[in-house]
Amino acid sequence: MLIEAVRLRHVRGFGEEGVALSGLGEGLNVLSARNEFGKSTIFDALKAALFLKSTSRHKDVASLQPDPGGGAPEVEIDFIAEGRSLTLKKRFMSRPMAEIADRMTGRILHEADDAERFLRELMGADKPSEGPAGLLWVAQGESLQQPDAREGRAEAIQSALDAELDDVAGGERSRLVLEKAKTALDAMVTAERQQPKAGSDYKRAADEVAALAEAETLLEGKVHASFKTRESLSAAQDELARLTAPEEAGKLEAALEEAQEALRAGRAEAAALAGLESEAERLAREDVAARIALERRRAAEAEAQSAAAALEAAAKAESAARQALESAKKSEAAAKNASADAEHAAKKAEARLASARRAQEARRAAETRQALAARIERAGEILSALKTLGPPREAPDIPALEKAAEAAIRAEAAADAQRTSLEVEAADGSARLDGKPLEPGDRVALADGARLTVGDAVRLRVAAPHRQGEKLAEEARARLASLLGEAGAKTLAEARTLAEAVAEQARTRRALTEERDRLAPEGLAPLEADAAELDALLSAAAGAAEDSPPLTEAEAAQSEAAFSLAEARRGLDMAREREAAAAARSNEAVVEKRVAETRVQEKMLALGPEAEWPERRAALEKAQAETSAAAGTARAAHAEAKARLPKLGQLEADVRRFGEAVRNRRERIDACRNDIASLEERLRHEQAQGAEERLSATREQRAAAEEALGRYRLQAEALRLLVDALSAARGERRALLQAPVTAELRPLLAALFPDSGLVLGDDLSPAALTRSSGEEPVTRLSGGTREQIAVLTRLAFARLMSARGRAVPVVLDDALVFADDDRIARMFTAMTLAAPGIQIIVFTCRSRVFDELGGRRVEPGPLTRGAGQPSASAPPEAKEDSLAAIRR
Amino acid sequence: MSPFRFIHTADWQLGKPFGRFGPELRRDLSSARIEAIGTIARTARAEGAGHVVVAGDVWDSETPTDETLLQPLDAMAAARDVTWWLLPGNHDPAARHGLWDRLRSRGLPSNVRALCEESPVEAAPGVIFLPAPWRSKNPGRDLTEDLATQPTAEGMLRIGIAHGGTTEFASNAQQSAVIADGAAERAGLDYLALGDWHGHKKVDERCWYAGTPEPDSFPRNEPGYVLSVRVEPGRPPEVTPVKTGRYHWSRDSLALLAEDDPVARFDALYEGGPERRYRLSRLDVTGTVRLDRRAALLAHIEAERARYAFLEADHATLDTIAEADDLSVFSGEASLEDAAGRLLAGAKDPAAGEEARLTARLALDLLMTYAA
Repeated sequence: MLIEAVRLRHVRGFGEEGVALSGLGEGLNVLSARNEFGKSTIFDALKAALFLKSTSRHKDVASLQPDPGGGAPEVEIDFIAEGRSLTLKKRFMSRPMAEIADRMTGRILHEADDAERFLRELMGADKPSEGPAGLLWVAQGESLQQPDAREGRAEAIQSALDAELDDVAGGERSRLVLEKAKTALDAMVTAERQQPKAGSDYKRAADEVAALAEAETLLEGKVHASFKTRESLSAAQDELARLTAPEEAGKLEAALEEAQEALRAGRAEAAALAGLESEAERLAREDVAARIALERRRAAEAEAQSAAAALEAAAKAESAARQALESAKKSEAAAKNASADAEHAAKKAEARLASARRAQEARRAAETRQALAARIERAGEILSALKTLGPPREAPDIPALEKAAEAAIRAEAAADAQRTSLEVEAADGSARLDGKPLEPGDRVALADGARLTVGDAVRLRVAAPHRQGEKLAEEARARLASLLGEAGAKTLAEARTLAEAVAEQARTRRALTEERDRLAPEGLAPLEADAAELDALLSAAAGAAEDSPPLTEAEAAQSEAAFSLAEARRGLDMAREREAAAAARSNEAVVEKRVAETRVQEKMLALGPEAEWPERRAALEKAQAETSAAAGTARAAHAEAKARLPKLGQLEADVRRFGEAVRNRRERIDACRNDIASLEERLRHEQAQGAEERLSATREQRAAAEEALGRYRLQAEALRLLVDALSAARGERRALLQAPVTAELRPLLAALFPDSGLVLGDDLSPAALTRSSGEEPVTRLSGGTREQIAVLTRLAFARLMSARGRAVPVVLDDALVFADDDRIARMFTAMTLAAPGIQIIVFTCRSRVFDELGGRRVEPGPLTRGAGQPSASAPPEAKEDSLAAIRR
Repeated sequence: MSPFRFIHTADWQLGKPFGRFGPELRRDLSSARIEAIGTIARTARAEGAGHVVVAGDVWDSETPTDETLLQPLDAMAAARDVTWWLLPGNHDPAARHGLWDRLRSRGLPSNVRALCEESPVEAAPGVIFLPAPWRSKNPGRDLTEDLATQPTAEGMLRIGIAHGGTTEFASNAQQSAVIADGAAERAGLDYLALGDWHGHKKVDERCWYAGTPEPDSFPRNEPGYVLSVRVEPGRPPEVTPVKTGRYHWSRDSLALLAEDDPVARFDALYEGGPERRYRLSRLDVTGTVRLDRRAALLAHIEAERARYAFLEADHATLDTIAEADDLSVFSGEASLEDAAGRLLAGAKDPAAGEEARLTARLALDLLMTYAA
């Protein structure tokens, strides 16, 4: 088909005057016009005239109408088909008509439905979206849509590929089979995981298997439960039969009766035993009381003896203290006399010193030298003596020692007063203290815990009072010994002697030192200097008093006397102190003695006259022996009765046991009856449900369901296999089928994309562009590239169809919108390459750009101005206003 | 003494679920088993027998539903002129608190007698029934051994009633309760009525299996009968099988040759047989078939199924051959031919597993169906 001219009237903006395109021919035809001119109207009118019936009320037809009252749309197309020049005339909407006339003869070849059928066969479709137009025409705004041969469009290209189809024979039928298989498979399984699909029989079978398996488990549980109920019921009935068996009935009750009787007898014996036990306990208490009384007596006697011994010791101490006091008083008197003597001597020495001094004054000059000589001599002696004496020594602390000695004596006395002693007045050899026999006249101290035995029958243990006095005495002695050790003496007397010696030495040193200091405070040298000076003076003077004692002698005597006086006074003070201490000790001893006397008197008062002690003690011992014997007898009687007594605990346990057994049996019988009633009811209910029958049915149903599921699974597998096999077969065929299209496409593609190729899909639509950088899906390419590929593919289809004698024009309405300058130039080259042998009609508003396209320029013109001229080959009569025929 | 005539039947297995079938067929098959009771009663009347002995497995399970338990009793009670003697078998043993206790607690119709004890029962003057009931599913011994220890008065007819397999088909029987050869002779019986084998079968001169009166599986024996038995002292029993089954179950086979018309062969197989709506057939289709005829056969079988109570064809081992002519069905569409060739190769590939070959065969069948 080759379109030569198009004429419109009453189509949208083209009103009564209409529009005409003429001079269209093979190759490139370019209609370049401004926006709003009506290019798309011409495009739509072409589609409507070629594919829609004149009687159609399709929206695409309705949209062709002009403004209201503008008349019915009319379209007229001159074209060449099947070697003939023809004209198609159509009017839509109002008074529709369709007509095809031979332009050479003017003869109307087809009218009305016949004309529509002719057109349908010619165009291969009766819808604009199908057939060649659907494949090859690009409406405005659809430039990005890729051409494809799906559905009805397939025939357009496939009819052109009949030869290939004949060769590969993989056409519509295999597609339908594949579709059916895919549809069937898709209905059965999910796309991704190939799992049974919701709503499918396959899924229902799988669900049924699962549900039946669950039901089976449930029923197995019920069957098992019913079985258990039967077992429990049998067990309960068996137990009830055993419990109620005649030979068993009453056996337990009789045993209980017997046990109760035995318990009653046992309890009577136990009551009698309690009386014996009470008597034995009473006698035992009496025996204990007698024993305590005896022991107390003995202890009191021992205490009385001890108190008497203490009194004796106190008396001795008191006597010793009194003697010490007397002695101290004598010492004090002697010291007083010595002090008076010393005082007298001192006064005498003072007088002599005064005389000497007076003599000295008289003999001052001579004596001075003499004195000085003596002084020098004396000083030399003193220094020598001091050297002989050696270093000073420390004197023992006599007061401290005396105080410690006194404390030791007092502590010892106090301890002694506390000590208990035992005096053995008579003995037969059976009495022993801590295993040592006691002899008459022995007096031994009783230590705490000491054991006194009299034969085998009497054994006494000494419980002495506390020993605080002993401890204090020991501490006092230790203190004294420690002080003596420090003083370097063994006794107080030795210490005193030592102290005297030290004091004497100190006194000597002090005297010597004093004299030295007095005589030669600055050493001998100054004195000797003075002597030399005096000698010089004496040699000048003559005479000196000779009868006066020398002053130094007098002074020494006076000093010694004074020293003796001081010593005597100190000795007096000490004697007085000792006398006071002795007096205090004497007083204390008196007190202690009185205390001891009081204690002795108290003990004696409690114990009675000492002569009666053995008798009274013997009476107590006899009483204790009697109570002991009685208690022993009672104990034996109680033990004998106790040994005879039956074990009440066991008897009570038997009674309890048989009582519980009787009760248990009755309760068990009741429980069995209850259990049986309840189990029978449960069993009735369980059996009525027929779990086993239902389980059997469920198992069979599950087996059948699993078989069905297996069949569905196999069916799905088989469908997958079929889809795979058909897809593979079709894939191989597709490659053969696409070969001619690819061959047409290759040179066009090279003009735009050198070294590239195009992968076509099942529907022959461009799927991917392969370049050196790899394969890119068309959907991911830029808008410009997609648009260009879409046009190139259409051109290739058109060339292929034209080559196979099925020429159809390619109509592009603003199909290159996104191309840049470089690409559009290459597209023009590709279109020019494709143009020979086919018809390409290009509508564009980009006149300046498309000026470079070349091709045939088509100018629109009004019908009235003869713009719609018939083709050159048309006869003259056909060049008339052909729309007149439409009007007819 | 006059001869004693009775009906010997067994293995009713009431309540058998038939779970592998659809719900309607399940219901029909179950109903047929109950309705068989009426058929047996009519047979008894026709044969002049007043007693029907059911030799075990009256019910299919130990705990049937109340409906399954009670409805057959009503059917038996309805035949007042017949006394029904029911023996517990391995499916419905007389276990404690089991089915038979349940029956006793509900009360049996006056003309129905349960043989739950091993003791002899005088069924009619001069006729002693010696039952060997099952008390558990695994008795562990030949229960007919005890029959010999049960004496009866001189001149009485001794009729043993037992259930279990014999040594002849021990592999199918409960090993623990296999009935030894010569059981009737050993126990001094005039007749030993056995149950368990679902086809009717003569064991020896005095010992028979009655089989099930209404078939319940695809057997290799002859089910669907009861035995009309005539016993007379001093003479061998006269045993006559009488057909009672409504449904006909069969295992059928169709062995095809490549040159056969498989559809015609199929039609011929079932021509003239029992009425199809009462027919249950499991058909094994074997041999060889051409590709184009295979689809036709399968389509035909599928179309025919509606006529039958049940028809199941197994053609897993049916071999298919395809020659150039056979592919004409694809009208020269090479991709279809190519796919068919691939699938056929897969169906015959010895290296592939059986399942893979089966899948390929089914895929080929589907291709033929879709391309038809």
